[in-house]
Amino acid sequence: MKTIYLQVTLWLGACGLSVQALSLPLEHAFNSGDFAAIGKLESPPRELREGPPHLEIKRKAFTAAQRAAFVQLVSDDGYYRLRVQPAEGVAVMASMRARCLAVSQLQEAFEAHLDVSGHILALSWSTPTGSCQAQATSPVLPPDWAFAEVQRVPTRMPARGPILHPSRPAFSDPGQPNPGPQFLSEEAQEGGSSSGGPRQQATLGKDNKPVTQPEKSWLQKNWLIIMIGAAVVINIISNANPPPRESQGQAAPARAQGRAGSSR
Amino acid sequence: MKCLVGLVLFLHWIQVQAIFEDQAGQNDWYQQHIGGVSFAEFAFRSRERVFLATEANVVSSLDLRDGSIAWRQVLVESDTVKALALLPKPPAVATLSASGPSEEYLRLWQAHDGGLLWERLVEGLHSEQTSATAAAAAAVTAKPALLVLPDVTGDGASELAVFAQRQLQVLSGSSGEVLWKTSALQHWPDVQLAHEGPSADGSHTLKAWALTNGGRSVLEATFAAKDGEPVQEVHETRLAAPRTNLRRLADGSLSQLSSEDVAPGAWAVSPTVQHEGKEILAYVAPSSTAAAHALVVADARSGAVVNRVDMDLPTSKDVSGNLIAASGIWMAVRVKGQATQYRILVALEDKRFILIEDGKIIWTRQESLATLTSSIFLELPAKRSLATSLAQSVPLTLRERLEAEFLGIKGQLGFATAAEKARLGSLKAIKSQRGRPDRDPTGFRKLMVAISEAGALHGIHTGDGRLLWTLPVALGQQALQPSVALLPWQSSHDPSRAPTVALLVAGRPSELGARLLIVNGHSGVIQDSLTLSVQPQQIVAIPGLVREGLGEQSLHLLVDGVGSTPRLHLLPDTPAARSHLARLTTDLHFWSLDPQTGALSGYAVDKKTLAALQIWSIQAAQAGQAALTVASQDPRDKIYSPVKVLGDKSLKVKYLNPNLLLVASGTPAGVSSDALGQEVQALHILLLDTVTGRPVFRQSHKGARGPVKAVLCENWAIYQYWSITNHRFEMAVVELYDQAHMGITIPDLLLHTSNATRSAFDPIAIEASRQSFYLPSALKAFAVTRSARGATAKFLLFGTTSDQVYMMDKRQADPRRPMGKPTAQDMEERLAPYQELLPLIPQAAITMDKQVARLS
Repeated sequence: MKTIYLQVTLWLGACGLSVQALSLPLEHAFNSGDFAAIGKLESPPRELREGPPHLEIKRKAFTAAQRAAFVQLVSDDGYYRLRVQPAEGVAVMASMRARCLAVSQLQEAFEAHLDVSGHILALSWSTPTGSCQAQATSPVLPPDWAFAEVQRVPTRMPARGPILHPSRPAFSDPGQPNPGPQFLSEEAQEGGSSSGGPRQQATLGKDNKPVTQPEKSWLQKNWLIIMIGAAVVINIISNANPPPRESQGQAAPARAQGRAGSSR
Repeated sequence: MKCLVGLVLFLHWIQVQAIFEDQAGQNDWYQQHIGGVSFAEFAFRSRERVFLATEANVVSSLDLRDGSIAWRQVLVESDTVKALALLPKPPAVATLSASGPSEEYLRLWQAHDGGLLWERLVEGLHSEQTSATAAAAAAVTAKPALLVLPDVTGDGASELAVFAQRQLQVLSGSSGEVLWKTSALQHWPDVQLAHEGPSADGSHTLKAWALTNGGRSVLEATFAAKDGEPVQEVHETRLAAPRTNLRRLADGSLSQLSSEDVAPGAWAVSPTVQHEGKEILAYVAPSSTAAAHALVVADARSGAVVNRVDMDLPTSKDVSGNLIAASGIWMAVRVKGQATQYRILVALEDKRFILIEDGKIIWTRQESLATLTSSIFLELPAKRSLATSLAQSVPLTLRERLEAEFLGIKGQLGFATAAEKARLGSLKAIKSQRGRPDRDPTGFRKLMVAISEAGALHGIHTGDGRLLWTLPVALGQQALQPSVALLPWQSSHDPSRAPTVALLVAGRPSELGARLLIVNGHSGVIQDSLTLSVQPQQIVAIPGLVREGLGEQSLHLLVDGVGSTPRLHLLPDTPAARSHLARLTTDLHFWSLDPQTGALSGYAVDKKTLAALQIWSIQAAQAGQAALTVASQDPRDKIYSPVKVLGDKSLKVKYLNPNLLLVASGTPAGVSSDALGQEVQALHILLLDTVTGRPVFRQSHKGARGPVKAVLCENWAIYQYWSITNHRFEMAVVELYDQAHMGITIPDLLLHTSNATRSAFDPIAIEASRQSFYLPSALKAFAVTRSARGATAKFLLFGTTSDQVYMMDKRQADPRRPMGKPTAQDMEERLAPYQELLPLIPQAAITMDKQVARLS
C-alpha cells in the first residue's frame, strides 16, 4: 500500500488556516474482516475549491463479491468500517451499522476533524438525518445500489478557547522617552465568550494607542468638596447669628442633659 | 432554692433533637496517619517522644505514651527520606531526602514542634570531575550516610556529617553552612560514618569506612572533624573472609559479626544501643507456631542473649497464607530504679506500628490507612441486633449519663481536669448517634470499604471513623502491584444478608490469571476465592443488576489484550448473567486510550458471543503531544432537569449525553516550555461521544499546557490548566446546549416527546457557551458534588496544593455571567457580573483549619 502525501500548502481564504493538500488511502472492512483498499480521501483539485473548506472521498465501485458481502452484512446487522491511514500517527477509523446505510439508501454524511496544521484527527460518519431506527423491518437495498463515487467531506477545526488577558504594564518603544508604565486592559481585544454579553472594547486611536479621555477641569474634579465646604460655611454663619430665644430657662436643662449623655 | 436547682437540672436533662449553629460544619472525625515506618529515633530522656520517617515520606514525632502524633511534616510525594538523625543541640531532627539523582536535600526540623529550621540542597561534584569518574559513579550505589557530630565550632550547636552526591561534607547544625567537604571518597561504595573523640587534646575525628572488592577488604579514612584535615590517609585492609556486613563497635574496632551471626533467623534487627558500657541490639525471632514470637535483646559483640520475652505479637497470615513478618525494629533502654526497661518499637509488613514494653503492647497504630487508593460505600446493617459482627458501642447506663452531665457542667464552669475532659469526650462519643452500628433513616451513616497501597482491605465506619475490620490481602512485593481493583459484588434487600465486595488481585507472573476474592462487607471475612483465567487490563461495568436468589448481583466485563485484539470475560460467568446480557436493550461499548500517543479507540461488544470489535479510532493528541487527562461522567449522577430556564422564561435544552468523554492533550509533562517556545504550545480539549467516536466539541488554548484537572457533569465541563502566556492557572468552562430544540416551551415539554431517549448515532447541532477565569491555586484534586436525585445545586470541590478542600458554587463558573452591568433578565437568572478571578474564600474551605495530606 503506497501512501501519497503531497507537501503542497494552500491557504484557505480568510480563515488564514494552512491545510496541506492531502491524499490518503481509504480502506474498508466488513465487520471483523480484514481491511482492503477502496479509495482515497483527498483534497479537491485547486480549480474546484469553492465554498467552505472540504475534502473528498473517492471510492471505487464494489465488486460482485463485495456486493454480496455487504448484503450479508445488512442481514447480519454488522458493522461496515472505513479506515484512513495518515502518513504518521494512528489510523483514523469510523464505522456504521450496514443496516443504517441500507435504510438511508446509502446516503451518507461525513465530517473530517483536522488539527491546525491540517492533519486528520477524526472522521465522523453517519446517515444524513442521523437516524437508524428500522430495527424491526429488514431493509431492502434497491437493485442498482452503489455508494457515491465522490463524496464531499466538510472539514472542522477546533474553536479557539476564550482568552484572558491580564491588565499588564505596557512599555513604550525603546529609544522613545519613557512616559512611565501605562496599564491597559487588553481583555476583550481577541474576543472571548461566544455567548454572554458583548465585551467592552478598548478604544484605540490612529497611532494604535488607547485614546485617553480629555482631562477634567479643577472645578469638575472637586465640585463635591467645594459644595460640602460651602455648606459648612453657611451652617457656621447661620449658627453665629441665632434667632432670638424665647426664654433662657428652657435651654439650660437641655444643655445639662447633653453633657450627662456624653460623659457616659 | 431547691426547686430552682431542680428546675435547672430538669431543663438540662431534656434532650435536644437538633444541632446548634456552632455545631454545623464541624468535622465528624479527623484522623492523621504517617505511613509505614522506615526510620525511627528515640528522643532524649526528657521527653517521651519518638521521631520517625516513613515510606510515605512523612517526618513525624509520636508521643510514646499513647502513640498520638505530636507533629508531622508531609514531604513532596517524590521526595524519599534516605536517612534520619537526632541533634542534641539544638534539639532537632535532621533528614536527608532525595527527589532525584542529583537532588538531595538536608533539612533540620525543630524537635518539639516540627518547624523547619533550615534546608540545604546537597551539592554534587562539578561536571568535569564527574565525567572522568562517570563509569565509577555508575557502579556506586547512592546510599547516603548521615551522622551527628558534637559541637566542634563552638557555636553551641552540634554539627552534621553527610556523605551524599559522592562527597563527604560537615555542616553547621545552627545554620546549615558547609564547614568543609572532600571528594576523597568519591569512588567508595556504601560509606559508613563514625565519630571518635574527644582525644586528649580535645579534638574530634570523623571516621569513614566501606566494604570493597566484593567484601574482601575494608577501606578506611579518618578526618579531623573541625577542618577536614586527613588524620589518617585512605588505606585498605584485607579481610580473612568476604563479608556483606560490618558492624562498628564503640571502641572503634570493626566487628566481623554480621546480623545473621548475632541474631540467627531474625526478621529484623535493631540498630545498636549503648547500655552500661555494652552495646546491645534487639531482634524478633519468629517461632514456627506463628503465635508466640520472641523479642530478644542481645549483646552486639558476642550475640549473648541479655533479655528474651516470648510474646504474642499480633501477626497473622495474609490471604495467600504468608506470615506477616516484622519489617523494622528499634529499641531504647530506660533504667527505672533497679529494673531495666526495654522499649521496643516494631513495624510489621502490613504497616502496623507497635510499641512494646516488657512484653506488653502499649499501643498499636494502623498505618496502612495512610495510603488508601480506592473505596466503596456500603449500607450498614438494618438493625442494631444484626450488627453483631461490627464492634458496636454499648449504650450508656444511667450512672454514666449522670456522670456525663456532671462532667459537662464542671467543664463549662472551668473546673474539669484533663482526665475528666477526656472521660467526657469518650462518654459523649458513646452518647452520640454517630457511631451506631446500624443504618440511619437519612442514609448518612455508611460503611466504607477501602483498599490501601500496602495491600490491606479495611472496613471503616463513616460516623466516627473507627476501623471495623482489616483484611491483609497481598503483602510485600505483591502489595506494590497497582492492579488491585475493588468492585461492588452483591447487595440485598434482605436485612439479614450483608453486602459483599469483590477484590480483583493481579496474579503473580508465574500464575495464569488474577485472583478474585469475595469479601463480606460487614465482617471482612472472605466468603469465596477463585482464580480467573485472565489478567484483566480494563474493567467495564455492565448496567443493571441480576437477581440471584435473595441478592442482587453486579456484573462486570473483564477486558484482556487491550490495544491488539481484546478478549472479554463476563464476571460472574453464570447463566443468569449471560441471559441478562443478552436481554440488555442498550449496546455495550468501551474505549481505551494510549496516553503517550493519544490513540483513542472504541469497541462494540457483541452481547451474544462476547466478542469485541473496534469500531472507531481517533488521534486524540496531535503529533508531539500527549493525552494529559480524561474525564467522563459519573454514571451514578442523576439529572434533575433536562432544560435550563433563562431570565426571559425561555428554555434552553441541555445536551445530555451519558457517553461523553473529555480528553485534554498538550505538551507532555516533563518537557520544558522554554525548550519548545510559547507559540507552538497549545492545549487541546476534545469532547467526544464514545459510542460513535464522533467529536462533539473541540477547543484549543494557545500558550497553555498541563497539568490539567477536569470534571465532566451533566452538560458542562470545567477544567484547569496552566497558562504560559499569563503565568497563572486558568479555568475554562464549556456548557453544551442542544440547538435542535431552540424555542421550546414548557407545554412542549409536557405534551411532546422531546425528552425521548436519544440515540448516540443522531448527530445534533450544538451550541457551546464558553468562558475562562483565573483560579488562584493549583489543583491536586477536582470533583463535583452529587446528590441522590440531582436536585441540589452543584458545587465544585477544589483540592488545593495546600492540602485543603474548597467548595465553590458552580454558578460562579457560569459562562453566561454578563460583562458589565447585568440586565434585568440576568438579574432574574441570578447571574453575577463577570469577574476574571474566581476567588477561593477562606470561609468556603470545607476542611476548615485541617489539612488532608496527599489529596488525589
